[in-house]
Amino acid sequence: MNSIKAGTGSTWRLIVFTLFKLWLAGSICFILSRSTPGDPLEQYLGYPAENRYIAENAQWEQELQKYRAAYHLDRPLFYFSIQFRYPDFIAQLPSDKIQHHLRHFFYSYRNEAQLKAYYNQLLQLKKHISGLDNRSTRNILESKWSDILKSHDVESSQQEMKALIAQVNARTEKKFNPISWEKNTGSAWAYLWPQLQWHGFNNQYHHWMTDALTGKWGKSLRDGEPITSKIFPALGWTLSINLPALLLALFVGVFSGLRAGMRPHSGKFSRYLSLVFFALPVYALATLLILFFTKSGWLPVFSSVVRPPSEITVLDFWRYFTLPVLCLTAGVWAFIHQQLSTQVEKTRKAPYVSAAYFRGVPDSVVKWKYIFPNSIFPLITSLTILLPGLLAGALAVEFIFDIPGMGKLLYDSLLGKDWPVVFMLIFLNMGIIILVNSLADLLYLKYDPRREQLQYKQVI
Amino acid sequence: MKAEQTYQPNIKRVGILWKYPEWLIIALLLIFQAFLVGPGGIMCVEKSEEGQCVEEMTRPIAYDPGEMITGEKLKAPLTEGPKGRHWMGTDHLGRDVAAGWLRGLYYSFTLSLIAGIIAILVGLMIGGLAAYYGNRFPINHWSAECIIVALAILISFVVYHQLRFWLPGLGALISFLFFGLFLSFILWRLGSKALKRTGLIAEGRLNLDQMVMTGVELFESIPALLIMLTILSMIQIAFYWQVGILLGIIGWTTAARFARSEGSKLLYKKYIRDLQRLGLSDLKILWKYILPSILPSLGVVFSYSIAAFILAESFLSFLGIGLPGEFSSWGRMLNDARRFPQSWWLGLFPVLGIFLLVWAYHRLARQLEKKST
Repeated sequence: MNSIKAGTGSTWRLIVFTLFKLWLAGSICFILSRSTPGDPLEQYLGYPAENRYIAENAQWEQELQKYRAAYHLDRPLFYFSIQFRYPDFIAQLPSDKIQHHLRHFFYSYRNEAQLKAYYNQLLQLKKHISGLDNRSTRNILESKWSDILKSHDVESSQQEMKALIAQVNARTEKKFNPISWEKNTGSAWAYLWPQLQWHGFNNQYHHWMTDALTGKWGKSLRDGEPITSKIFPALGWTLSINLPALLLALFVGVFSGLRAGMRPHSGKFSRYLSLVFFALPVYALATLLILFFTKSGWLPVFSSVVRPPSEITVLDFWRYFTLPVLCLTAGVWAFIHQQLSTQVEKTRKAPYVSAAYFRGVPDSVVKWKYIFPNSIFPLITSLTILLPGLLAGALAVEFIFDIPGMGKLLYDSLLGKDWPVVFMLIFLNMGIIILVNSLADLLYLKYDPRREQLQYKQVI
Repeated sequence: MKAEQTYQPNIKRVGILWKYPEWLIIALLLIFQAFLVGPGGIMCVEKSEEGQCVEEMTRPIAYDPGEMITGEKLKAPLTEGPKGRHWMGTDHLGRDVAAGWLRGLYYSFTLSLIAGIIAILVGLMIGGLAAYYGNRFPINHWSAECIIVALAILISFVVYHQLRFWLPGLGALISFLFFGLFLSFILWRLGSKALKRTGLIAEGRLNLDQMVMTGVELFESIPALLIMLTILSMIQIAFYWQVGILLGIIGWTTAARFARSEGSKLLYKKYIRDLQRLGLSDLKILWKYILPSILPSLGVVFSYSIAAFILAESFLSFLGIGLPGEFSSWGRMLNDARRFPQSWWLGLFPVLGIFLLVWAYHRLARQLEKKST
């Protein structure tokens, strides 16, 4: 099932295409991060209670605006926007709810002067209601006021407005008059036509891309720590269990795979072992090992010594990392062993190998110089699939053995809805995958010239 | 001398299940599940004419999957309980492990089957298109018109989004539909004419293969955990098969990669080119010649991907994301087992279950692989 890599003709094309893919990955992350349900900042600050004092709500909204500005969330989304025409003062209002409400009125009557008066009246009403003495009536009227904003039906919200004004008039000295709306009889066509607006470089997309590329990754929403100080230690932890596992699996896998491929009938034990490990997922194996080792007490199960990887001694490493590394190794080894042994079995039957035997080339030379280099190409393809998977896929081991690595960080930030961290992790992951794949393509171009000829030679 | 051909019934095929003992076990467990576990742990042996039960019998597993018995916590396998024997012991809440294990088998099996079917359909379609058209996807194709219509629908949706302020309710929807039709017609006519004039339409070819493979690569690099959590935050899982559909939507990329590599291998064959030169339509070649010849190796990838879905489901349940709490799942049983290292049966049986199913599918895939090559 080794696939022919997607066509990239020359090195230049490869480089340009890699950059294009990186840009695409960044854009995807941006789109994903802006389409998550709920406003992350509102979640971070906590929602205001429905019937709390409006003064407090205003304070809350001020805080929100401050954070929005800090995270560039008050800027337009993209370099340009195509929008339908409506009065500028609506677009400048802080709250989406009010904007939406006013737009309904505007499209029904298209009367800008009356709309401004209506907005001012809404503000005045809010002020007068919050100045009332009786707390219970104040709460009731405030909730009625916010109900008006929620309504999208022009007729019914006018009725509600009239009722509210009557109630407020009964309680305050200043008397309000409900606005009697008049429809603008002018032509409506100007409002049907969309307008192109240029926002310049000060937009969310530009900020996101430049910040991601220059390393200004911002702060976590959960504890306010910089994201870099979260990701890089986690990367260290992940690498410190993944690299030993990968190297060990490669070392053992190359020898056992070559042996099993050269003598298919004598390598039955390793074949069945690899099949068993192939069918046994990492988390199941790890759980079984934990059950066994906590009973026997030979090795500590949980790496409760949470220290940065640089401070860990060799003894610590041996004690705490043996089990996780072995768990990871088992699956990777099974994969490498199977790939290599089947490929060696195929290569062994090639005519040039027999010819080398007949010429009297020593067995070990045939094995290492003829068969081995010609059977590792599918292994390289598999490793490019495996390597990024290892970075994120060590989640099971990290989760079970309680290691604060990348997988654990992703899991925790996903459950905690810490979106800045999540999308930076995904961007990093995507970038690594794209770069590794391009590197593999480059290696193929250099070391296996047959690939280039194969691509789309005869398609259609 | 040519041997005389006579009809011989395939005797070997009758005993095929004996060759696959793991499949025999799975089939028996699935078929007799209705007998082994049931509501109340009681089964009716004989019914009277009025439909009432005359003679009752306790089932081999006398407990319901979610039933908690307070006095029976963490009992070892084969101990006697109040209703019957606990074949696989009980867990920390006093639930019978055997009953939950059997339900877990049923859920895992059906879920992964659904996910596999969806993944193979989606993957086959996308990967097959990428392989067939390669780097020369014709722009003046019917599919280009589809893209134009999709664009028109998108634009008219934006217009509708604005228009609903003007014409509330059904009026906006109807005018939106008319506007979309009108716009797509105009775009199609003007667009195709303009393309013809520039001469692009004769030569214009898209590298569909690279586009699709880039898409697959990028989709694979978004963690499945994120997609799963995002979808789960939007919908409420009420049926276990919904998780299967979600897994299928997430995991189609392997099948797409496979279909692409197999299809592009086939396209080097001469007879496909000959068929194209004879003037057969692309769809006909895809459906009648390419699909049947990749079907055997499709079986291989189907079984491998089902095995992967079984692992994915139990891992997600292990993390507490996959199946909701009311469905018993091997993954969650394993997660519970980590807290009670003294009771080995809590961990062992779910692991054995996962291993049994995955091993069965892997072995099936290997046999199919041997046959197809």
